[in-house]
Amino acid sequence: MEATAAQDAPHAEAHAEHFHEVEVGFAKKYLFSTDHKVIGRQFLFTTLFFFVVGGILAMALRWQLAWPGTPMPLGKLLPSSMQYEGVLLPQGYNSAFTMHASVMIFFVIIPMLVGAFGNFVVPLQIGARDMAFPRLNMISYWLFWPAALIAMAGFFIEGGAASGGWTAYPPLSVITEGAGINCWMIAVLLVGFSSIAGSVNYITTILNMRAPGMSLFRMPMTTWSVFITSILTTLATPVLTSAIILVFFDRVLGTSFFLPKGLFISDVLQDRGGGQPLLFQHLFWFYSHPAVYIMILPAMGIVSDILPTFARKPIFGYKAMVYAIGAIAGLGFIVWGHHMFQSGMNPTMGTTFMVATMFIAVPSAIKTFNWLGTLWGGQIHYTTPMLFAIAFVSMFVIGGLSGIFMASTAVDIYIHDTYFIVAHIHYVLFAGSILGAFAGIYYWYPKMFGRMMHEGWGKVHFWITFVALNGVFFPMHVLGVGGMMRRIYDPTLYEHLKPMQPINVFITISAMILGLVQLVFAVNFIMSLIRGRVAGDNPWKANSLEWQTTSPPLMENFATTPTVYHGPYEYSSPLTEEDYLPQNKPVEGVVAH
Amino acid sequence: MRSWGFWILRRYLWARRSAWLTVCFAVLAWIAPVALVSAEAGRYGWWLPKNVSTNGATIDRIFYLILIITGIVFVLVQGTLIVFAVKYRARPGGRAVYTHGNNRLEVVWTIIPAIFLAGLALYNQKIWVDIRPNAGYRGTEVLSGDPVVIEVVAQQFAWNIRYPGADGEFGRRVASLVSATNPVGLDPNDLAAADDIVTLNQFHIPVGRQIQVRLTSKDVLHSFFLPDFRVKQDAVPGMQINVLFDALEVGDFEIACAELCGMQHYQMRGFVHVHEPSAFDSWLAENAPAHQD
Repeated sequence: MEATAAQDAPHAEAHAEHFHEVEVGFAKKYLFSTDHKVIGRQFLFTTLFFFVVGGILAMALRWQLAWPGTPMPLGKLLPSSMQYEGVLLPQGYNSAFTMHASVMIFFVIIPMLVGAFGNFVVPLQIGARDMAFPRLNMISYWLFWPAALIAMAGFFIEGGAASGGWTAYPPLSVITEGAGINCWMIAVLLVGFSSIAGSVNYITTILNMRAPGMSLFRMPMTTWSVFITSILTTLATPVLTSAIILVFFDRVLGTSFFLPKGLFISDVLQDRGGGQPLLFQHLFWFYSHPAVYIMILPAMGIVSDILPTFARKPIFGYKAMVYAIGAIAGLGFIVWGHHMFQSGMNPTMGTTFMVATMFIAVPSAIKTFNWLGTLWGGQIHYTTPMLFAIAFVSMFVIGGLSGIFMASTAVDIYIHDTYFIVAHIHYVLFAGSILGAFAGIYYWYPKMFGRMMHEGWGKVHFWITFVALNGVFFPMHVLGVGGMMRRIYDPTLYEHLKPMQPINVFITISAMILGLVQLVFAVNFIMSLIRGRVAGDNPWKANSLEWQTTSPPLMENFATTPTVYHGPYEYSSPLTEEDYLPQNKPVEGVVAH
Repeated sequence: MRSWGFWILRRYLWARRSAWLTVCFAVLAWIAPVALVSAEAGRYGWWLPKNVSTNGATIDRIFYLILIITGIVFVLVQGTLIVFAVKYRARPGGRAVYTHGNNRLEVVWTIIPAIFLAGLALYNQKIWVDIRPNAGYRGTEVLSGDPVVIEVVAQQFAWNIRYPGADGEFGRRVASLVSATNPVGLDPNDLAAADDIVTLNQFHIPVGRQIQVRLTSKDVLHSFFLPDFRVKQDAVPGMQINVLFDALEVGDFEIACAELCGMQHYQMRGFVHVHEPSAFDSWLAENAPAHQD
């Protein structure tokens, strides 16, 4: 068994000779580096910066919803396309939610989970010296900046940033004046290329550059999740790219891919026709539903690595976990129509997507039960990463269960396009992906920077974040059930929404707290770079290969290419005195995996 | 803060240092406000608006069914998580159980949710075909129950509502004829168009009759949302989509646009007026166009 596994995994040393340059200048070392560790950290810093941008937009939205039409504190600092005398304008409100979603999805969650953690962690976890295509890796990072800058430029041009929603449904996205939407479309195209380049690189790296003995079923869950996520990205992102190109043509070249005959816009009959608006929705969600899994699977992988480490226990049902990720990814490609139950799509197709959507809850349930199984009988150490990881499990359950309401075509008639959906997606993306990302940052920070983050402040950050996020997102379910529509500038105009205004105020206050407490994280993050306790190689006593080298790792990761003898979750094994067993440490006796 | 209850609690917790008690109090601290709010939610209008349609009652029923099922799963899973989190906290000298899993358990917790979800899918499908019969989609069928047919043409940022008038037939619409005075583009050369009634944002319907809305849009996507009737359907330019529902009560209600349609999306508000059938008929008669071409 050992021998065959060693033969299966290609030898990483064969790739070594290209990476002997150690003496390099500042720019090459820190800016245009091809080292996966530097690129991973670049992605981390960049995405944390955009997390602040997206967060500020969220604060503006919340202020408007709680106290419509009143001047925001510091509101005058927002771009003049959005506000007048500190009051958010309807156009600015539409830009704010469009850009909040776009920034958080394209410039924070995807590049943080896949770009930062994938880059930094994956080659280390599989015992490789770098990514398969280091230069492509660098390009994928440097495509991010033009994308982000072009998207942000929208705020400062006439007409303001894109305001057609991150979904950019035509005809609205075609007929809206101003170059903001053009900027948005170009940015999405570029960031899509960045994603595709990255994912091709991950797939190649994981398939070809594993250390001797690192069979596929000995890979840690983070690597598995990035691998499967990359497959999703390579298959789905080109579809979004095509859709955006077509809608861009409709905008600037006067084509009619998505415009039907007889459109009457701003009192003018349009000379267009032959297109179908629903086609865009199909293409868009064919990417954007898998994108939800692109945004959650890596977080699941991170959590699946952190739970066993701090419960000092092998992960429960390793293979079931891998297959469940595969099942989620597979089913994820045939559920996109559940975003379109009320779109005018044939109701019979609604049935198909309803059934598929119901069944995608099964692998999600399997994952949850296995996480609980991992905690069962453990010795749980409540470090900050562990708190975030356990909170992820708890919050993912809420996001998963609220999804069942939407899967029901009948219930969806009522709750579609209401705050129930907003609550659901934020339980998945904030309480899921972002908590997972925080868990990952606290967990790998010592490996990335060689120093520990402060535990006490980490816990303060955790508890206030945890309470505040529930204060923000849980009451949104109630708003949705009360019938509050998404994307409305002023809910107090509606009789059926007036009584719920106190809930909006409560949410906004919670959101302010949630926003402010991230400063604790920011200060902790920066101060620990300078004053954090020196971490040592393996501060968490973890098994996977990234912990079996120095912190931060050497230029080519490992002094000698590690050989892998068993799976990554051999905690509390009866064969060892210690309660952990690094993957590259041989042991007498038979190890189960 | 110096109330004696708090003081005893603190002393007790300190003396016992009981993790279990701490957890119980923490859970209570969460459940109490949620329970209080839910008990009062209806009174404050913080929940489903009162339903006034037949389909709405069905939708509410499956909503509550899912709420109960997910509620039970929520309590069980979160409860287990809390119990495990406390019970299996690290103790000095303790060692975790060494196990890689249990295939029988995997099968059990795969099959049980699958059965529940399959059941839910079947029940949901039964309701779905009632509310959105495929026949209703095509627009050419004859519906049972002699529905009141009304056309709704959405535009930025208003609802044009058209009744076929005394002849029971909608006149032809021509896109090039749309103007400020002729918002839906009625063709004056079509006799059937002459008695059509067009209103803006005022949607009058009779109580107790099947209503068939022919929904379309002049410009971008909109969504015809009647919260009190649990009705929502996107209006798509170039498509005509039938929406079927009824009203069980006389009264005035709201129409909202639920699909982003531009800068004044939030102002795209309309009004539903449900009349007794006789009052509806007299409303139609009063609003019939005065001029005849």
